[in-house]
Amino acid sequence: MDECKSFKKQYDQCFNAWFRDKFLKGSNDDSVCSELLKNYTGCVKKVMKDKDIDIGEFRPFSPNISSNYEPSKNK
Amino acid sequence: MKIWTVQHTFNYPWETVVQAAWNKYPNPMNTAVLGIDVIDRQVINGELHSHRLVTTRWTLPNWACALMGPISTFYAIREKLTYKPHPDDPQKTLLKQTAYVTVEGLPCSGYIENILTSKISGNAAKGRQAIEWVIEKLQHKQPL
Repeated sequence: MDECKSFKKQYDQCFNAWFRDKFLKGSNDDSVCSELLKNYTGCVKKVMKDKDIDIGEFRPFSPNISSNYEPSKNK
Repeated sequence: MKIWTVQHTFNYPWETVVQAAWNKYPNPMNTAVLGIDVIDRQVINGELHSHRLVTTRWTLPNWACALMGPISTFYAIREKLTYKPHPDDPQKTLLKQTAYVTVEGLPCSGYIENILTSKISGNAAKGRQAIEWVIEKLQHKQPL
């Protein structure tokens, strides 16, 4: 979203470096980008609210999300 | 429901391809995708989970929109993309892509499912080109 461009740019730079240099090498500590992520998602959520974008199917993360991935009917 | 699946080999190692996958959008191949934003992201038990919001231009033909808007009670497209090191060559990456397309509440649901599926197939080919394009960018160290 254009409104959050600068937040996104800062966060993406942090994430890409973290993903390449830490996560792919076995580190699970993602705290280094957490402040930038909070600023960025805060901006995105505000814009979504302002634009009335409602993600009806938003579900919390489940530890098994990748293994039990099957399409389910959500009417 | 219609299930569509395809496999593709990238001539790059897995680490390179997955880094590119995070930075796939926007790209000149899928111009309907205007951008992608993170809503939530966490590492849980060593797995990285992301909720992302994709901003797109809706490119179905007008007649299909007209049909699906008021009449269809339900439609859903779910996609699963798996990137794995190629079993025969660790310098390559195997992508398996599956799409599940469901349209309900129309007498011609199966027909609409077929149209959506062929669109997904075309977009998937563009998506693979986009990954290659991002990798090129990464390798020339241009800022993403």
